Amino acid sequence: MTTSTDFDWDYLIQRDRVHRDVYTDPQLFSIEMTKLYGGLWTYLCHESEIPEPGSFRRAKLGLREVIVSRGKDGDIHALFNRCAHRAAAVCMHPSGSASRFVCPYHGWTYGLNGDLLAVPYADGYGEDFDKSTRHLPRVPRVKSFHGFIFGTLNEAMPELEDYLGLAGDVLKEFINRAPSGKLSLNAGAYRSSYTGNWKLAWDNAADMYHVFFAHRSLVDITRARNPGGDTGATYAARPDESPIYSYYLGQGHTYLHHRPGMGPSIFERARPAPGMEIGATALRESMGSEAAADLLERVPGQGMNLNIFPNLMIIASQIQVVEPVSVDRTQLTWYATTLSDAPAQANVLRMRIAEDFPNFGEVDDLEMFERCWQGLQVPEAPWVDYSRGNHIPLADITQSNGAQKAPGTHEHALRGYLDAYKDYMQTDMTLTAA
Amino acid sequence: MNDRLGKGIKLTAESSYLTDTFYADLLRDRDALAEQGPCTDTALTAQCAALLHFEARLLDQKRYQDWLDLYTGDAIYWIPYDDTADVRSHINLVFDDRRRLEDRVLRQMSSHAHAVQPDPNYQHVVSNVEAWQMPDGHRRVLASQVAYEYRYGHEVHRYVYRTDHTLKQHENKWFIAVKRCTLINIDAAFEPPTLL
Repeated sequence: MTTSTDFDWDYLIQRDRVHRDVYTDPQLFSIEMTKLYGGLWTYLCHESEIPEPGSFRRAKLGLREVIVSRGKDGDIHALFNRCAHRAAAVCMHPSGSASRFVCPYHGWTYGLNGDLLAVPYADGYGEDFDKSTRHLPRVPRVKSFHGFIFGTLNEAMPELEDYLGLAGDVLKEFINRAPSGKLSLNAGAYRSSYTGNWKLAWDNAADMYHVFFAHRSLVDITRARNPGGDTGATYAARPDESPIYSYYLGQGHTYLHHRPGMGPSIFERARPAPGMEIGATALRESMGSEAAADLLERVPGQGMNLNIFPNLMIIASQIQVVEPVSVDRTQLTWYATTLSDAPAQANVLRMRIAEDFPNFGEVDDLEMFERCWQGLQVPEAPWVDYSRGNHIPLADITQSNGAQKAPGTHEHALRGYLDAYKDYMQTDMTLTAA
Repeated sequence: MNDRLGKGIKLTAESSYLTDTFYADLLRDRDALAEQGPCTDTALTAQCAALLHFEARLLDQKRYQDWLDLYTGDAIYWIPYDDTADVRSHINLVFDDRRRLEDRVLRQMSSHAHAVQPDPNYQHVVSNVEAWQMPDGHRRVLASQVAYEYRYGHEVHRYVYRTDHTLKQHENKWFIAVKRCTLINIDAAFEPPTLL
């Protein structure tokens, strides 16, 4: 079996370039699917998706199928979707409500916490048959961070809050942009997929360099609507000097902060969405203009793209989850969020605005990932360049809290996450199900 | 700026009709055919089928302004994720008013829309058409459709869906006021269709 010591990591990942094997090697992918997905704290789902006792939702921990359930007493369990008997998946519904999970193969029956409750024709087993050891295998460490549920199989991982570190502060800021700090993820999800490695999405997540090229069609249609307006022309002329920043936050987490470059109003800057004008007018009439203005600022994306390694991204008002399928296939699921404590009219606008970018922007990102994947099939040209801004000493972009901050067009955040990646891949980890 | 962009496409500036009442009526009408019996008016069905066939051909021929001209000024073009969900609190794969539908067409025509370059070929197939004259004077048309998309270097993509058209009459001509497309694999991950 290939292990991580079989790879020459300092050759594969250098300061300003990365070798194609990091994207294309199936053995390396297998190691990622255990060490990163499951070895690190990995996002599973949001508490609002399993609101009450009996609620469950299937999720992925890398390639492992997990059921996240809420037990009778309200506590959260992450169970492998795998019968303790002959390994059949016990749950095929994506989400729902249940009082127990019954394996369809031989009828073994489990409680919401995974305990084995009953085995048909139990007298066929000997006296030493112990039901307590034959529960659904569990993810041993499951923790919620302000509603976001993560799990790890690695007893040596630090506490979730410490792993999130600065990214946790940004995540809290994102959550607190919602009135009363309450978000709900029951508004549907975009499910897209592409041919290519999952890290291509990760490379793109803290990249403002691609915007005026990959998303040129979106820029064009916005200009067609607003021929006299700026629509990003100032940014396009001098992107390195624009107040849009990318951050490397440590532990592989990256962050794009657009808000300083978005002008006085995020809402006014949002692209036209169905019903936007009359929806805003109705809110102003019902709430008064000051309260409506404050709420409307919270409706679209918050100019914060936060990427929590290895699989959670906050993009605009949505939660994107990276789900690797194989070394060359990746699924991206975008969960829309609603503001729990806002008037319904505000959420209508939030939904209509959330529908814009996946339709008119994300499609071109996916196309870029697929083109990178095509290009990575040339063994004789193995290097991927991410040297933009590498001439600037790290000390010059390091903040007092340890974050590295540079123009959004620099590639330092990629260098940062790949550094962390390289460390994780070389760390000995013992992963166990409980 | 791409000077080909939007050539011959008329742009609507305002989005002024998505009121609370409009949404409520849209959801009520969506559910109105749930228990509908058979369609008996064969002449009406043939007329409506001709419109759907024409619409399909306009898309296949990429006659986008002609296609837009089939739609009312207060149209909804809609591909829901959940055909039973309240669109006011849920996202859809597509939920376009007239203005956003025009944006969709504009992007489709841009040579910088990398996801549709090289320009794909399309074939829309219409079947199982049923039509009814509704008490409110509108017409409703249900059909089964399959859309094929082919782009050089890619597999042929296939989309299987049910359509529900609401037609409204204006000066003796029938226009599409609502088109809802329900894809059979909407809960799977797939590359989104260009135009259904």
